[in-house]
Amino acid sequence: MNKNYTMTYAYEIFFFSAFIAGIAAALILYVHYARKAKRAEAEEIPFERLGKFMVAFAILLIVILTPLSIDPGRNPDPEVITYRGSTALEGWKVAIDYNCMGCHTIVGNGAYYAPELTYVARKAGDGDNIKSLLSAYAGTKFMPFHLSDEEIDALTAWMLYLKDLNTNNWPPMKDNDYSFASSFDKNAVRWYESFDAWLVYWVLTVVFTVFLVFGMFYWYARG
Amino acid sequence: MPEYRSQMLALPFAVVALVLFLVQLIAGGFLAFYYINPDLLSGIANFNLIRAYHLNALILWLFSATFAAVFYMTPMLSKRDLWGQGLVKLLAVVLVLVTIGIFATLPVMQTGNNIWVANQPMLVEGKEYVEAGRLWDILIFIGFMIVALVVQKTLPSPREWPLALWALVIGAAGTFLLYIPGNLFFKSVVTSEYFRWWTVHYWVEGALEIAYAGAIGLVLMLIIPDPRVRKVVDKYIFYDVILAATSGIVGQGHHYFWIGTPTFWIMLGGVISVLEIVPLALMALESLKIAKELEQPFPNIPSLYFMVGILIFGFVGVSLLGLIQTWPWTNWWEHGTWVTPSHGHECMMAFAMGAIALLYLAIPDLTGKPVDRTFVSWGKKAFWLMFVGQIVLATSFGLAGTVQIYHYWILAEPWQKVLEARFPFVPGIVIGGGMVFLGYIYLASSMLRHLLFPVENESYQPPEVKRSWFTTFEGFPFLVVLAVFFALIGTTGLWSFSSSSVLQYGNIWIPYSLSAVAYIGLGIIAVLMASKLARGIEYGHYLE
Repeated sequence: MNKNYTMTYAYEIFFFSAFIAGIAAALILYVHYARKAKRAEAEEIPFERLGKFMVAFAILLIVILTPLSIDPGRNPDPEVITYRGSTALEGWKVAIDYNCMGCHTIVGNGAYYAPELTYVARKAGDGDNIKSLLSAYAGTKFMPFHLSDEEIDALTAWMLYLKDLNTNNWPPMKDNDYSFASSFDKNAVRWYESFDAWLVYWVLTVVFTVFLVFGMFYWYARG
Repeated sequence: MPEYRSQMLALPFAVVALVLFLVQLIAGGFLAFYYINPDLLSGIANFNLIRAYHLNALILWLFSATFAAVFYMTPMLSKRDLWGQGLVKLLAVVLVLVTIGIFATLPVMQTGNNIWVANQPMLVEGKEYVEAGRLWDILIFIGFMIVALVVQKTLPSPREWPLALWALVIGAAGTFLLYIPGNLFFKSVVTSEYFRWWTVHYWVEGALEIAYAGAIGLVLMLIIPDPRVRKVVDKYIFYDVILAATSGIVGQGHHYFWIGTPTFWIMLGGVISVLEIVPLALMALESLKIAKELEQPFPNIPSLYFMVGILIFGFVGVSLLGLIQTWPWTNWWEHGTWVTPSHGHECMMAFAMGAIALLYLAIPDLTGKPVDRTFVSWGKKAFWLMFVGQIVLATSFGLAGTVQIYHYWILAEPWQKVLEARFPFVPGIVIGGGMVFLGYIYLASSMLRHLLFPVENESYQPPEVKRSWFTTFEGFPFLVVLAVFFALIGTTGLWSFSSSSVLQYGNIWIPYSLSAVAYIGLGIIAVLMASKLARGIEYGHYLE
């Protein structure tokens, strides 16, 4: 039990209500201005150049951010992580061959019929535990196909690799206090990630969202 | 008979699309069955195989229906027959062969006997949505090239293209090009997932959205020969494309929160992907304006209903169910649970309805028979069954996902317990899926009847129906704003999992009740919006 639970509650109530109040305020503003706004009689398409610029800028942004996003320094190298002589890369190929993603999720993506693999690997902890899980389930009605010993070793190495992925504190576990924002700087690899910025993210997101979404509606209502 | 003989070449693609849609629905039924009895099919046709059929049949039938629409519309736009009709026939054969090939080689995943050539998987790629092997991808890409060549040779010079045609061409070309990155094999799971989302997300948020906006714009221009239409449509297409592209391209970030990509995506994805609701909300509002400005009865009622389906699922399913889960602090909880497919199913249904709308439009023209009463009434039944069925399905997934968050992430129960916790919602999924299936039966039989059997001679005339709130546009913008509020309630529901009230004191009724209010409310609003828009235009009640 948290002794300061009144403070925790007050803090949470403040953030929840600030969120709702911010959006409500923006909505009231929007309705107010939309009523006042007179429909402009546009001959041609207004904002044509701005629109084209925005699309070009978005594409440019993606092109710039792609090499940063697949930064190999951020995550382990699948050819380096091994388990009993098999590399994680070999395991990834086995995972593709058996279409693991058709039942499981991998870093949250895939089907939802079977457990999340990153989560399983983190709970299991080490290679031997992962291997014993794989050996126990392979060939049963849960995983109704035969896996050879080499394939199980390769998959174990691959799940050790999944365990070490830098997933920004996801999935929610006791280990990260069930708080996605608990500390991004633990995971920081490059300078642009090196500050504990969740509050900045939070404020920016709410402010941008409220003003942009309802600004757009306002702009639309102006015609 | 249609105006140009070569438009008949659209017909085989339409039939292939209908057959594959049936395959998709049957596979979906088996997937639901797996949750009721996991043992019966296990070892014969594993869950992952059936799911691969479910997804690949969807992708192939959307391609096929898009091809049908392209071959149906290109001659009308260019006012001459298709160039290279032999190539189009070849394409139809290739499409059927590729489909058979994909379905025949996917079972390789049950034994793991995949073939790797030059470090690339040839028979099964083992990634969600792009399970089909490299061998078939190459053939599919050749098919895309054939379509591009035929269209390019048939259409007049690009200088004469209306904006809507540009949108269709860019969207279609984007669909083809974006098929590549998701299929490539990367050693790193992170890189692989990063580029797989280029295919999946940019299809939905970029290429397909733009292509269907263009196709609907063109349809409006073709069936209502009024010079004002082109102006209205041009403006509408321009804003839709610009807003969809801007928010959709960077909005990709909501897939990059937890896959091992840097933290800056949490800010970018969080901020920009929320904007994705704007183009779709505007599209819904703009459609009212277009209808009011044109003041014309719509000649093809089933097609009208399915177009309304795209708009409403585009707004409620794609953008608002997406909004509930796109915020980083709600996505952290819902990622990897059943909350995701609640959004995914309505997204895909929006595009499926786009394809169906185009098929409904093409078929009476291709057969040269009038749009008779039975065609319209079966088409309307198909729409309502699919629409409501999909909402029931999405609501069940969303609520089951909310329960799953608590049992899996917070209580950290073993998987068997999580399945049991989700089980009460499985009947909802079965009922929703069953309704969609019934809707399909109406859809397919209305189309096949029109193709194969004689129909009534009279065209359908909408009956005199008393005006009511449910058939006029009155209050539609208010419903749009109300729907956004219900989405915010859903957001608060998922977000409240982070509160000490849930984590420490176990007040689990807070997220459950907020989610229930949000999902059920959004479902009711969606039905009301569809009724106002579709029935309002059908009965002409939107006119003052």
